[in-house]
Amino acid sequence: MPENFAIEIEALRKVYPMGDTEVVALDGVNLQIEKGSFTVVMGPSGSGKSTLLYLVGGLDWPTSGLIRVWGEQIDKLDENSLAGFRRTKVGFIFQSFNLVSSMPADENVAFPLRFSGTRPNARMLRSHALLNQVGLADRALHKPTELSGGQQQRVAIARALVHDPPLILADEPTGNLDSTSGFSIMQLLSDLHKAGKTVMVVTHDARMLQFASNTIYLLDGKTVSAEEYRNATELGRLEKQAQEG
Amino acid sequence: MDTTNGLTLSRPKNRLRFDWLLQLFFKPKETLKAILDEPKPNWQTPLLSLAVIGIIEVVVAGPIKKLAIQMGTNLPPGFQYYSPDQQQQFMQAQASQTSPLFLYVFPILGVMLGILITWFLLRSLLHLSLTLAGSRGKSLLSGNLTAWSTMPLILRSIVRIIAMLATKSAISVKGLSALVNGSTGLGQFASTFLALIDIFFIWQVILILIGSGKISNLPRLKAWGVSAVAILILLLLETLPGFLGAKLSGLSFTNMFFF
Repeated sequence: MPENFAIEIEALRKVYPMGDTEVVALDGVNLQIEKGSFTVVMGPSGSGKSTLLYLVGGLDWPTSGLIRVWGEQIDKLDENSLAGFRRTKVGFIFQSFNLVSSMPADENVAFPLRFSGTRPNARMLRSHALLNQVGLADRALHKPTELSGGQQQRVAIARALVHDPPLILADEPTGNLDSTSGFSIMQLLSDLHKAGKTVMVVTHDARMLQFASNTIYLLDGKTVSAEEYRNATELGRLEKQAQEG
Repeated sequence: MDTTNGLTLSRPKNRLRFDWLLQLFFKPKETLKAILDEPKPNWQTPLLSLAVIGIIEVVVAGPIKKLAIQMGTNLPPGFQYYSPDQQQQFMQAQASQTSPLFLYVFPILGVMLGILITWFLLRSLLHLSLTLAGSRGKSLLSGNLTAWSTMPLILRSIVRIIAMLATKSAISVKGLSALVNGSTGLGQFASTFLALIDIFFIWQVILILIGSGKISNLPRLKAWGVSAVAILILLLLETLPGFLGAKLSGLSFTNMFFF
């Protein structure tokens, strides 16, 4: 694998058994994503884009195929090794933030450090530095219920950065946010990209494309070209309308 | 009242011999001799002491565990990857464990049962292995020896109580379990196994080895060998429930055995 690839995927398949039938979420995906890129994965609901992200992040195992992230083949790793991989290589951002409701923002950010032997004082120092980085220094002691959606997502981004991973994976990070908050989150992700992180975002939001250095289109579990995607989806219809208008 | 080497050998009216508790720490060989010379059951004192200190440990740990659950300090690794629904379900399940039933009643019952079951198993295994090796000693003496050998575990409980009171946190990594980083397969088994082994357990093993020669009249090395096998079998039996429980449910077991 050339050293400039952050992610390399070959013939990736993921099949979910549903009673007597099987749902094919990913059907032979091949991908190469460069280090330092900002990759946007576009696709309609059910196209397999979140599944792809979860497999790359080591949150699930593929049915078959190869996934190599930062030089490490993760499709055959056991749960322990995957936990270690997630801790060192990946920061996750979820659509619904996944913050612990009983903890204030600073403890939420510091939470993953509990399991890496970091002392409490060092955890809090790191947490406050990251909250400062995402513009929430004055909200460190607020619980998630006392924060807006955009602020909660910023806390989640700070938490994703707590181990300083080289790869940031975001699953619909603007999906639960209003337009303005969503755009500020996109800019924050773009800033991380400019600071050297490799960012991979799964989204419906076409505004994200302006920040992307690389775009992947998924339809029915397969990667397709931009042309095929436009022909098959609403995005294409909207673009045509805009051209005609 | 007869005395040998400064040890009280006379039998009081009841079977409780609290005078031997401290003596066993300072003069283990002589005290074990006195204990094993007595041809009647004297295992009640150590087991009662162990139960009392175990109950105190549970009472001290109760509020600390409750606070940990309420503050979310005992959340599992990777909790941030749980969906909000899963997080909610986990928190609700944790909240239900803050009742006195889960914090005090069940753990105290666990301590009492654990002490009795483990003592019964160890005395049976020790007696069986020594008998198979040629000993014709009484099972009563195996019972007395295994009960009094648990005295270092009282010290362990006292250390744990002091540690909990000082740090306001429960003991999460027991024994040598931190040496193995494994939550699946062999690593998990090794971790559960090593959690049972610490300096107090080794002390207990030494007491059993000292006493096994005396109760069996076997050559010293032979008595040590078969006693070690009995202890190893007990350790494996103690490891299995925790290991199987973790394998089946992903949840950690409360020790079914006390030591």
